[in-house]
Amino acid sequence: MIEHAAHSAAKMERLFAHPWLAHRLLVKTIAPRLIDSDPKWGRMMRTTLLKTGGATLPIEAIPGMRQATIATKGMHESVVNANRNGEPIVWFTWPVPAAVIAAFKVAYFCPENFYSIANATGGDGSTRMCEVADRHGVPQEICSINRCVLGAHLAGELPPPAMLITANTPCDGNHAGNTIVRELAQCDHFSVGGAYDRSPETIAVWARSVWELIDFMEKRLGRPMDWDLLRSYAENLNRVNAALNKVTEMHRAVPAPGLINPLAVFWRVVGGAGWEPPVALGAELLLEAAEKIMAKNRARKAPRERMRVLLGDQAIAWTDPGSWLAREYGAAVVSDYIGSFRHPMIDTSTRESLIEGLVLDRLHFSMVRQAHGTMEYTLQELDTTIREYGADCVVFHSNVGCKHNLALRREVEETCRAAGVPACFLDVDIVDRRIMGEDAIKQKLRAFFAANGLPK
Amino acid sequence: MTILEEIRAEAGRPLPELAEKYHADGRRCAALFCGFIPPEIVHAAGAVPMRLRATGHSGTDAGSTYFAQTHCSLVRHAFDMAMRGRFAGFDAVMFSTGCDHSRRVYDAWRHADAAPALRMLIPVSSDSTPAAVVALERELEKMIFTLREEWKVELDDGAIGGAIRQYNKQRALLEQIGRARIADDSRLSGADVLALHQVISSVPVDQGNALLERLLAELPGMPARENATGTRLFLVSSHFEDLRRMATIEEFGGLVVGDLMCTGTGYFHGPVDEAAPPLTALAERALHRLSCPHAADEIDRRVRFIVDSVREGRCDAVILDRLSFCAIGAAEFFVLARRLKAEGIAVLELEGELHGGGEGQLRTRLEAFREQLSNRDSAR
Amino acid sequence: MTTLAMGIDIGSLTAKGVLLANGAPTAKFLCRSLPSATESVRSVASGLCGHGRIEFEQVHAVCLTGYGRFQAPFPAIEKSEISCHGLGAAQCESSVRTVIDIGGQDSKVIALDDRGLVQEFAMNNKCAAGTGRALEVLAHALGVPVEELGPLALRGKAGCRLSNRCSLFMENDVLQARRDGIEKSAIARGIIDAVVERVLTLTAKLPIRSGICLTGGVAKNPGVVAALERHLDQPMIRFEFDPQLVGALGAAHFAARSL
Repeated sequence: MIEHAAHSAAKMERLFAHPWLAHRLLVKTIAPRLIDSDPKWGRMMRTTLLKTGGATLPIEAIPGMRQATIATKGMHESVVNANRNGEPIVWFTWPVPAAVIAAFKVAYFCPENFYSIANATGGDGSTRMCEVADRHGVPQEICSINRCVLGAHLAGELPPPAMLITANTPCDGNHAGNTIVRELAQCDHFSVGGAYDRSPETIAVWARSVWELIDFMEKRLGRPMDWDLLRSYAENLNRVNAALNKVTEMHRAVPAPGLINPLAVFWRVVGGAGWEPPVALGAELLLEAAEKIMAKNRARKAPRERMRVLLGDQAIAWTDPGSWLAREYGAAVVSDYIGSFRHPMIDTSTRESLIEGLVLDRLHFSMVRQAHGTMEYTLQELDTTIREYGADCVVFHSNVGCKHNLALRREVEETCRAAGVPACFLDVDIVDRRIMGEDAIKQKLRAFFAANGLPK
Repeated sequence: MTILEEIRAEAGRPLPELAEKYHADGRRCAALFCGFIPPEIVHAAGAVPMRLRATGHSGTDAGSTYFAQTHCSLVRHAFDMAMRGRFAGFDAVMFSTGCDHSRRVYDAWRHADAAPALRMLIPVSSDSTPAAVVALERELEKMIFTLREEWKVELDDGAIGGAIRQYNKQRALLEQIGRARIADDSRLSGADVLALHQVISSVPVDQGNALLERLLAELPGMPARENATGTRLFLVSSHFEDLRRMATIEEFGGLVVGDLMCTGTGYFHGPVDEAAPPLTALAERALHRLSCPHAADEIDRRVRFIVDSVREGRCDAVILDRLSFCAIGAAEFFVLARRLKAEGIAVLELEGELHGGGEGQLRTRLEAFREQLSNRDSAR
Repeated sequence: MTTLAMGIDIGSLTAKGVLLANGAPTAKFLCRSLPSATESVRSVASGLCGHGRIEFEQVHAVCLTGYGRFQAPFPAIEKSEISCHGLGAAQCESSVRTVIDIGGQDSKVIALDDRGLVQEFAMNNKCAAGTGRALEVLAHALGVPVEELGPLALRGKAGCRLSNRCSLFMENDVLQARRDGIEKSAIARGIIDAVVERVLTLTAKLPIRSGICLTGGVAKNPGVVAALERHLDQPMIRFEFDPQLVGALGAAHFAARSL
C-alpha cells in the first residue's frame, strides 16, 4: 500500500504538472461524477479526488498541490527503497519533533499518516486494515487511527521499524497504539515526553527530552546529528508555517478562497515530512494561489457562499463531504480541524531555541494542538474560529474512538450555543467506514440543516 | 468484631462520610483521583489524602450528563458523586492526566463548578525519562505553592520529608502483609487485602500504620484460610474497588494471593528515596514505581513483577480484569496476555463496570477457567 | 443395570436436555427458556423423562450448565457451558480441537485437548453483535425469517459490507442497503459475514487448530457455516447430532463421569 501511495502520488504529480489539463479532467469532469456514487471505474481515485478538493479544487491550487504530491512520493519512495536495501527506518508519531530524526539522514516514517493514505488506492484501505487489526485481537477500544496502523503492520503493509520514537500524548489512542506497536515491532524505542500545556517553562522542560532523544539516536546510529541540516529543516518549517498560517487566516474572508482540502493535504505532508524543501515550496505556492483567488474574488462577482461550515474535529479518511456540501447547499467549508495552521515560528538562532521551537511547533500541529491540554485549549480555539470565520454551523464528525473529544461534547455544545451557531455531531468512525457510511452521513446532515433552517 | 471485620466495615464506608468525620476532628481532606499524586504532600500540608473511590454510591445518571456510556465507569461514578454534591465536604480534589477519561473529569468538574472549589491538576508524563522526572517535579512545586496559598500552611521540605518517612513505613508494613498473604497458611483473602488497601488509602497515615501493625500482630492468631492451598490467583487490574467482585472471583475462581492494581499493590509498592531531595524522590518514585498502564515505559518491569510474583506466590494463573472502555488497559492486557502465556502462565481476561452487573457472566468465566486449570493439572 | 445420566443446558433463549443410557444418547429435549431458570430445569427434566420413558428418580446423576445451573431445584453437579460444549463436541467427533459456539446472547471459542477438555477459551464481552440474537434482529430488518437467512446468504454475492460493532448500527446498515436496492441475498451474505467476523475476533486470543466445529443453534444456519469455512479457509466438522444440543450432551457426559 505504501508503494501504491507512492505510485499514485507520482501519477498525480505528472498530471498536476499541467494545471489546466488536471483541472479540466479531474475537477471538472471526473470528480462531479463521483460525489454521489462510487462506480467501479472511479474506485481507485475517488477518495483521493474527494480528499484533495473534489469538484471544488481551484485551478490556482494545483501548482502547490503538485509539490505536495512530490513530497508524498518522496516520503514513501524513500521508505520503500530503504526497506528494499535493508537500511534502518525510524518510525515516529505525530507529537515528536521529527525534523530531529530527519537530520540524522536516516529513512523515517510516520505510521499515523498511514490512515490518510490507506485509501489512496480505493476507498476502503483504512477499513480493511481495521479489519485485519480486529482479526488479530487488537482491542476495539483503541482509536481506529491507531488500529489502522496496527492492522497495516500486521498485514505487512508497513516497512518494519528499526527504531520507534513515540510520544504517548496527547491521547489514549496514541498511548495504547504505541504500546502494542512496541510489542509487535520489538525494536529500539525512545519515548519523548509530552507537554500538557504550552507555557515557556513547560516547553523548556520538554525540550530536554528532545536532547535526550538526540543522544539516544547518536548512540544507536553511531553518528552525530547534522545541526546545520536541522537548522535548514527548521527554516523550511518556518516557510511552510508562515505560508499556511496565512492561507488558514485568509479563510476568514467572505468568500473564502476554498483551499481547505489542500490545507488538509498539506497537514498530512507536514506531519510526515514538513521540513523537506518541496513542502516549503508547495506551501508558498498555495499562499500565492490563495492570494490570486482573493484578488479574483475582489475584482469580480465572487461565487456566493450560501452557508459557511466549520468542521470541528478530525477529518474522515475515507470520504469528504465538501464537494457534496458545495453542490447540494452552495456551502463552503471555511475551517477544518486538520487543515488549520496556527504555528509559531521557530527561533533558529541557537541550538537551545531551535530545539524548543521544534517542540512548540509540533505541539501546534493540528490534532496534537487540539487534543492536548485542558478543555480551554479546545474550546477557546473553537469559539474564536466560529466568530472569526463567520461559521453558520459546526459539524463534528465525532470519531467514535476519540474519548477526550467525546468527553467535551457538552462543553462544546455550550460553546457553539453561546456563539449562536447550531452544531451537528455525526458519530462516525473517521477511519472505519463500517460504523456509519456516507449515505447515513448525508442523511444526518440533511436532517440537521433542515432542522436549523440552513442555509438561511 | 475481628480486625478483618472492622477493616471490611470501614472499607464499606463512603468517602464523604469519612470526610465529615475528619472535618469534625478539625482536619482538612483531599480526594485524590489518581495514584500518581503523592499523598505525602497532602499529608504534609496537614490534610488527609483520600484515594477517591465510589464505594457506597450507585448510579451514574448525573455523571452521564457530561460523559457517555462508553466512558470509564469510574469516571462516571466519581463525576456523578460530584454532581450530587458528595464532595462538598472535601477541601480539595486532585486529578492527574492518567488517561483521556480521567483528565476530562478535571475539565467537567470545573465546567459544572462542582464542589469543592479547589481543584488541582497534576499532569504526569507516561514516559519515565529524566525530562519527565523534572517535569513532574515542577508540577509538584506548583502543587505545593497552591496548597500553601490556599490553605495557608508551611509545607516545607522538612514536613514533606517527615511524611515520606511515615508513608515509607506504611509501604514496608504492607510488604509484610504481602508476604503473609502468599503463605500456604495465609489468613488473608484477596477481599481482605482489598478492603485493607481501601482503608489505608483513606485514613491518616499514622492511623493506617497503627492498623497495619495491629493486623500483623494479630494475624498469627487467626485461623488459616481453607482455600489457601486450592487454586491460587494473581489479579492484575487498574482501579478495582468492588469488594463483591473480588469475593466472586475468589468464590468461583480461587484465592487471590497477589495483585498489581492501581488501588492495590501498584499504589503502595516501593519506597520513596529518603536520601534524595523530597520532590525529586517523589517524582522518581511516581514515575518508576510499578504503577499502572499509564506508565508506558514501565511495562517490562510490570511484566517482570507479575511473573516473579506468580512464581513466588505459587500462583496457578493470572486474572487480567479491566474496566470496560479502557483503551490503555486494553492495550496493556494485549501485551500482558501474550507475554504471560509465553511464560507458560495461564491467563483469564475479564472486563466489567466499576460496580456490579454481569455476575452471571463473571461466574461462568471463572468456573470455566477453574475447569481449564484443573484439566491442565490432570494432563500433567 | 442401565446407568442414566442427564445433562441440562439452560440458555437465555432455549433450554435443552440430553439423557444418556450407559453413555449413549437415548432422549433429547428442547424448548424455549421459561422466565424462571428453575422452571426451565424442571421442564427439561420432565421432558427428558417423558421421551426416555423413565421416572426422574431413576436418573443416577444430573449435570446442569448454562445460566440455569445457578438455580438447581434438585441435587446436581454444575459445569460451565464452555466445558460442556467442549466435551459434547468431542463426544460427537473425537477429532474436534476447536469449538465455536454462537449462542443466543453470547459467543465463544474453545480450544480442546485430546480428551475433549478445555485447554483455553475466549468469550465475547460487550455486546450482541456476534450472536444468534443479532442474526434474528437483522433477519427481521431484512424481512426474512431467520431460518431462511442462511440459505438466502448462500445465493448472495459478496460485497455488501456492514458494520459489526453493534447490532443497532448493523440494523441501520441493513435498512439502508434495502433502500439502496441491493439484492436481499447479498445483504443476507453481508449480515452473516459481519456476524462471523465479529465472532472470529475471539480466535485471535487462542490457537486455532484444525478440527473446528460449530455448536449452538446457529450451527444449523448453512450460511454461517459457509462463511466460517471461507474465513478460516478450512472445512468445519459437521455432526449428525443436533449441534444445538451439544452443550446438554457434554453436561450429560460430565454427569456420567461423576458416577
